[in-house]
Amino acid sequence: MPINPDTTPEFEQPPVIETALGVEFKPIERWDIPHFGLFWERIRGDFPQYGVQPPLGSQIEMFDKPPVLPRIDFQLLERPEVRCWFFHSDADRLIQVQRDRFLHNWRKAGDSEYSRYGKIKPKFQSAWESFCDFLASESLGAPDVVQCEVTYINHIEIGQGWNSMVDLPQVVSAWSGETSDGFLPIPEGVQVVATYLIQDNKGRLHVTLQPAIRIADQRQVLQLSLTARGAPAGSGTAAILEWLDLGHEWVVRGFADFTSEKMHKLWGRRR
Amino acid sequence: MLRVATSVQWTSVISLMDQTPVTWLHAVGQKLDLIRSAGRNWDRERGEPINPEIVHMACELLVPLSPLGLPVPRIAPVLGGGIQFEWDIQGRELEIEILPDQTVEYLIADKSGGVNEGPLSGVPIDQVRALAQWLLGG
Repeated sequence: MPINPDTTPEFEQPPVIETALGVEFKPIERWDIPHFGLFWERIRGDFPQYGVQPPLGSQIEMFDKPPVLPRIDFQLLERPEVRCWFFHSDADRLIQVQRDRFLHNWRKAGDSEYSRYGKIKPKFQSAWESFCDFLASESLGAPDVVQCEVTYINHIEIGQGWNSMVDLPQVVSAWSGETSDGFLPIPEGVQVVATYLIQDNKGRLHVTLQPAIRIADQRQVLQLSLTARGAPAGSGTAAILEWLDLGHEWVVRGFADFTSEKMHKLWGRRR
Repeated sequence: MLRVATSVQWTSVISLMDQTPVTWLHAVGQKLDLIRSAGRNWDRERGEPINPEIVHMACELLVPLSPLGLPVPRIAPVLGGGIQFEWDIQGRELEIEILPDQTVEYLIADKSGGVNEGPLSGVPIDQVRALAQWLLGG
């Protein structure tokens, strides 16, 4: 079913501080450490800084058993693996590459405005096509894409609609905060983890909410993360973008459904 | 076997739902790392770089507090090259400041308006621990 962007919820000032669009593919057999540098050489004009991170574990969604919560910290690997981060010169974009993963992150930098999906998607597409061109030029083969991913991270700062866990029902429509006998005091902390199947097993939406401290300014926030993952119809760019559209719709509609109307007013909901 | 990451997130946060001593120490270490790496004019005015020995002293004072179950303190550099860390727990407030000359001062306040402040001698690990226990209601 085609997605009508005119009906997707929209906010003037959403609390989004970071987004990531990405794909997971079957490990590229002949990918090795030097390829990070060779690929960087192609994008270095726009992405002049780099960092090295531990690799992301595979997170393929299965539909014949309950979802596995993201608690796996160790994984058996046949050889050393790394993930490279390439930072854009504007400090608001990041490309993440590893042997079986490609992600494009946008992050709010300073007082910059939220970069909407319509702006981010072409940037992901351009970076992904550049990566695919690189793989072809190095005779590494076309990636066999097994999953797409859309992640939106929201920071609801303390003082903006909430001050303690007693205010959580005012933020999250799904949390009542009520108890049966009135014995328990106000929770000291609340962490919410929920998963939702996307229709026809096209994917799964993961929603997590937890109190956190943002390191950059040591501000206390409720971090609300929504991640949609699922398999595209094929490995071509068109199929990937089509799935990302679906994932984005679930993330945005899920965000609007999960949060309260009171917060929607604070964020300036337009539709 | 290799440690693998589970999050694609770029923005760094510390979860408040996972305050084991290890994560507490990790969070404190990250904050001190940021302060250690702050150069001159870190406040965009006249902030002096923080002497590594001051950061080391802060570590010496904070690490013994990890088993107490305190929240991660607010830690900030102060003008002149010192470090201050502070907590505010249910109306009780504790501030510890390591001055550029490596002397240490404390300030405690409670919701009744009572304030007590003064110097601590040497590297006052035991005194800071005692103040932290007061903060927790001891």
